[in-house]
Amino acid sequence: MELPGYRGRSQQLLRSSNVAVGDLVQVRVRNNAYKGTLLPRYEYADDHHIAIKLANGYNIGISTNNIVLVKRIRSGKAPRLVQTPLSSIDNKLPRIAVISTGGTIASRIDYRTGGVVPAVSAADLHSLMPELNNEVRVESEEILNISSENVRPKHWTLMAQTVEKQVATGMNGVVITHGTDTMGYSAAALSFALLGVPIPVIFVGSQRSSDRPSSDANLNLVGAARVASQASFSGVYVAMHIGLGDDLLAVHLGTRTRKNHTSRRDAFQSVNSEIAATVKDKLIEENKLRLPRRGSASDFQARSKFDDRVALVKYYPALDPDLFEFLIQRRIKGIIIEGTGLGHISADLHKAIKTAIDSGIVVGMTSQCLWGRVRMTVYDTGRDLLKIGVIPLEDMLAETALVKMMWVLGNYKRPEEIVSTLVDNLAGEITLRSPLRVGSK
Amino acid sequence: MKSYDSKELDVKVGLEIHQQLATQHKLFCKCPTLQSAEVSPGSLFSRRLRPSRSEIGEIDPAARFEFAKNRTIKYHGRLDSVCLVEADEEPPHSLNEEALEIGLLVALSLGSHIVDEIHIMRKIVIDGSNTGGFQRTVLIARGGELKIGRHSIKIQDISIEEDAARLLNESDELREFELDRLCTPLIEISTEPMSCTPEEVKDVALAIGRLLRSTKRVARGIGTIRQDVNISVAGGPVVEVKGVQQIELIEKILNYEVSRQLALKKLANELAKRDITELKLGPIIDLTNCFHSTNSTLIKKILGSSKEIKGIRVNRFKGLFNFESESGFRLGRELAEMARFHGLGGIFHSDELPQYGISEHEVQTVRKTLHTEEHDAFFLAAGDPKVLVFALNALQERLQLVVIGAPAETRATTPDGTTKYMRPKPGAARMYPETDLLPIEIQQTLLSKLKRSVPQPWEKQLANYSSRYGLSPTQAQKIFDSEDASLFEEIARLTAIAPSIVAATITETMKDLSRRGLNMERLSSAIIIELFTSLDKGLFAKEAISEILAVIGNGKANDIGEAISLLQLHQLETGELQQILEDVFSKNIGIVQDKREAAFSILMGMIMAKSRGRADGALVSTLLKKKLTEFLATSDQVRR
Ligand SMILES: [Zn+2]
Repeated sequence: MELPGYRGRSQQLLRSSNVAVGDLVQVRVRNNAYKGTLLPRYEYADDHHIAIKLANGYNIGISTNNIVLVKRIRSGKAPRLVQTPLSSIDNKLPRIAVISTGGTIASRIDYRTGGVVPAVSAADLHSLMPELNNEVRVESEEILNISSENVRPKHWTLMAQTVEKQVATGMNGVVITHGTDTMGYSAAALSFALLGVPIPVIFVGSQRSSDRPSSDANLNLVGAARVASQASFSGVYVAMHIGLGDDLLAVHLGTRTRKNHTSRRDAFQSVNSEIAATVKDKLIEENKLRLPRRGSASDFQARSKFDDRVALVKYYPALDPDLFEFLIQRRIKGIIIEGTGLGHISADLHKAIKTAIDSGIVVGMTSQCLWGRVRMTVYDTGRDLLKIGVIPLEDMLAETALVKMMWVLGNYKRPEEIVSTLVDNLAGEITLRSPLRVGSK
Repeated sequence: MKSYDSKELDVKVGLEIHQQLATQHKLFCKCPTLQSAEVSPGSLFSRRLRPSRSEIGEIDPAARFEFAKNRTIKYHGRLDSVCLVEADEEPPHSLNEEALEIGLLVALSLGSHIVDEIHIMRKIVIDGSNTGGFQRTVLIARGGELKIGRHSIKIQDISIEEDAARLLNESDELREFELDRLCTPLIEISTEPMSCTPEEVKDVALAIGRLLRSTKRVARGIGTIRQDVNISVAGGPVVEVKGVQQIELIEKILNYEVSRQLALKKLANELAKRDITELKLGPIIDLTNCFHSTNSTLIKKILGSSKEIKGIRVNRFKGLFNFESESGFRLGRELAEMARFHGLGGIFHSDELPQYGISEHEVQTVRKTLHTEEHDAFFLAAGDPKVLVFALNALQERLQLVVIGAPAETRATTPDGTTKYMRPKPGAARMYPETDLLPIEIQQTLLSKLKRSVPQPWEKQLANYSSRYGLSPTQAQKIFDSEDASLFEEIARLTAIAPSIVAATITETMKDLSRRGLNMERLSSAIIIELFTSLDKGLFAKEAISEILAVIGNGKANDIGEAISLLQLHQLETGELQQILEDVFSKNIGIVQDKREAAFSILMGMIMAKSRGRADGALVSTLLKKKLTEFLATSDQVRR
């Protein structure tokens, strides 16, 4: 007898009434009765209501305090999602791999929990984007099913290795579906791990859940698949909406993009960089970023190690110098500071930072301004920090700098090599020239 | 109007009343519930909506149908009444407690069973009227009853839901909406199916409207209440008729819909008589070539605009397109309506051909191409190749249903009280939980609190109303039912004019002016208020009310002041006024002597009446006061 979500009083009542989720039941309460299908209970719901779906489609909760009797009218099977059969697809079409990691993009509502579950079969994906049936062959691989806030550096390694494997099978492109919260971090991580990747690797997510007809999932997914299969450039990108309409897609550099809004479909923006390309219907239009071209798959190798002994410290007026002491004790190897303005941090902390650097920790400086470049030669504070050995990281995003630190520490050993790689532009994460107009700024 | 016999024909009618609530904010955000009649300049964004699977993995037929039409939706809105929630760019905020309270109050006054734990649902609607592709709705109570005279009407469900966006215009490729109304709280009250006359149905709608208004917490004015009517005849499927804005249309619509359903039922019976339980249709066949040397200007025009002609054979259907019921209803008309709905100009069927310049020879060629036999019928349609097959498929599906009579579907009302096809009836797959919000337990403490403020029954409120304002029961009811009740109350508050005059103006005079074809939009609430404050100041006499409104209504004057001067209701010269004053004074000297200073108001009234409003009250007052003081002083002196 299945009673998912029920506990305590409600579970007891349903057990003793010998009914299960999916059954058509009659629930008699004092001077009234309800007929409906017994629903599962939400995970965090209380224990003194049972939920049923009435014939008119509405769900209601009935208090166990009022229930006189629960009777099964007809036992039912919890409905199963119907799989859409995959129609035959021309085998001359370009092949892309859709690697799913979780998130709401390729998902649909789950009858049992009322929440959303991933839809990962190739048939599911084709049914989510029927307009691609004559354009690409989709092969799907589910490597993870986690919310993006649970993605850790080891998962980047897994993603990078999966892409490496797909490249070797001759894929024309790869799409990685990902929750949006940390998609920027993952895209940055793979930008480094997949340096020199010969095909486009497109991260895609959706801000508005795919269980709603207004979801941005379709446009994002279709656009991502088009870029993966048809773009002439290679590298790691994030494809998401521009604006609130469902017509224009941005392809952001994996190292330059950031989720800048909690909910809007155009939450992702390129910071300190132009958008790499836009997609409108079938038209992919490239900006002047001199993106790497597609190449041959034969000599590609991923460098997918990350060292997670790093920290990102955002400066704030009450920051306690002892925090750095703690980081030293925890054997952290690299620290990215999100300083103020041009790259500053209170003089009260300089001593602590010096101690950290002296103990072998690599410390890089970015700015919490987001837009602009750190310049630490302008004010005394900056000069002091430079003297201590803090490395200015130009116009790199703090999150990208952090990820890059992990990757550099995972793949380089010699200190001077670590520093020079950190400040070197590898995947578009640093530009040394600041144009008058960049993107929205 | 001739009405059907609901008992004999077994007509069941269910009502769904939707009424906007007068809350501060919208249902799931903090936007104000203000609406303007204007269209916002420029569009905010556009969308494509696609059907999503329900929790049981099905796609709602109505949603699938709408998606097939492949339309872009453009939204307009004002930044002060639309936020990211209406744009579906931010999760909904918590359910508006004020709206819930009003809903619970109504439920309590109907004696309904209040749901212990309410679950917010999404009702899939992908025609663009909701930006998310669904309307949020929550069932708060079931059952209950409403007593109307000796009758007792059973209530089915009470829900709170968000109103939809306002449709501005639509074409085959584009729909445009205004967002200000979106997410405004509504209460929906549905009745159990009732077996009663159209007039009784109208009374039920009226009574529910009154009950809602008696809470004093519902919106008033045009478009704030609308009715859906569910109609079934003789145990047939339920047809849902949407969006009856005027209660007066209910009877007409019911009569139309019942005769339509009866006619289709008769056709089904005729098919049964011919032993046809399932309609056999041929495939869609291209007929463009049958018309290559046509003389029909209509067909020439069609083919000239690169359209195609396709047709379908209908086995053993000869004569049935034109099968006519007593009410004059024909199937051909129903199909033509559906064809137009799917973007075609209409259909031609074998029962009406040859006609429209189509020759007998062409009909024979078509028959040959479609392989029809003697008793077979056919229909054909012309259109853009892309639309044509889709539309013909829909027509095929519709035609299959003639064996059951009137199929279950959703129909829209027309301004002249008929109905037209709108979309397939939504299935159970259209409702799924709002995954962004948790269920809400209705607290007993809230219910106990609300029980104390359940509104008095309508009759009682009406009695209070008529005694408070000194209105006759009929007048009080008219005002209470009208959209202008709050306007009336405001004028009564602002002026000392007898409320019965205000009531008569708002109800009878306005109705009369409207009948005379005047532009009622020019007679705004502001104008009406100005009218009465001016009257209160004595700028004109109450007898001039109708004239003043008429000249504003027909555009000759723009405000009350202009109307007064246009109609030469201007004030009297001081000399003329003095004359009247002297006259009144001398004729009523007895009153003055008797009442002394207290005679002032009596004389004042007389002078104002005599000057027929053409006197400045303040001036009259000054002159009269002076005269009175002088007179009393003189007469006192004389006495002494
Ligand atoms: Zn809002």
